[in-house]
Amino acid sequence: MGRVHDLRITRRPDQDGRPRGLFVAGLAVGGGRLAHAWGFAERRATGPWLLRMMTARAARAARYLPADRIVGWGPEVIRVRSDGADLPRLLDVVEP
Amino acid sequence: MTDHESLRFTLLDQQLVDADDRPVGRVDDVLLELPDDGGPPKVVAVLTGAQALGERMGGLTGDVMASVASRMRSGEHRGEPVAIPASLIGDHADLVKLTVALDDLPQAAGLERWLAHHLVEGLPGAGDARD
Repeated sequence: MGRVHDLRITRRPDQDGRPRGLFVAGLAVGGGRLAHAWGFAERRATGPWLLRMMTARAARAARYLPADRIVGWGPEVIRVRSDGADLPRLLDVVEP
Repeated sequence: MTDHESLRFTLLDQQLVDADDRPVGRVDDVLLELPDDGGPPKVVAVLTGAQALGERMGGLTGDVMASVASRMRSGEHRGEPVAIPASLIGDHADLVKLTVALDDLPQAAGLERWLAHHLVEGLPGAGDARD
């Protein structure tokens, strides 16, 4: 499925009911390392146009993997429930 | 509309400030923990300081940085990166603002405190700055 390039975090009450827990909501998977690092994979950056063009294909390939699809959180490999063909594009999930 | 955000862009490398908006450092790494119920990982602490950054960077430069920084810490936390519990994180929209003052974090900003005590306080006029 690709490499994990970013974690998507969310704030919600933890199991003790305290409101300040930061949890991993999902993973940004696939696409190029630089597309994520430079912010093109989630539309945080829109230029320079040359870099945007160079990373466009990789940014479109990045997918969002919700945490509830993950069955194994290993240190080297993360196992998911299905083949990931139906995962949404990261660009469609994040706010511009 | 999403209810989640990027850890890379909203937490990592962001400026840490205390409850009085005084700089504490930067978020150089994040400590995650897997809960016992099998749920998703939880952010339990943010790590700050040269040791945390060096360990995250890796390579020869990072290893040297982490090694030197770990030897400069004293006390019971010697050899460990500076960890600030995630429960102390308030807002992290533009800055990562803690809910406590810097004085309540004796493990943080060690180098700055050392320099302030051993170097800056001896300078003429330093007393005026504290006031």
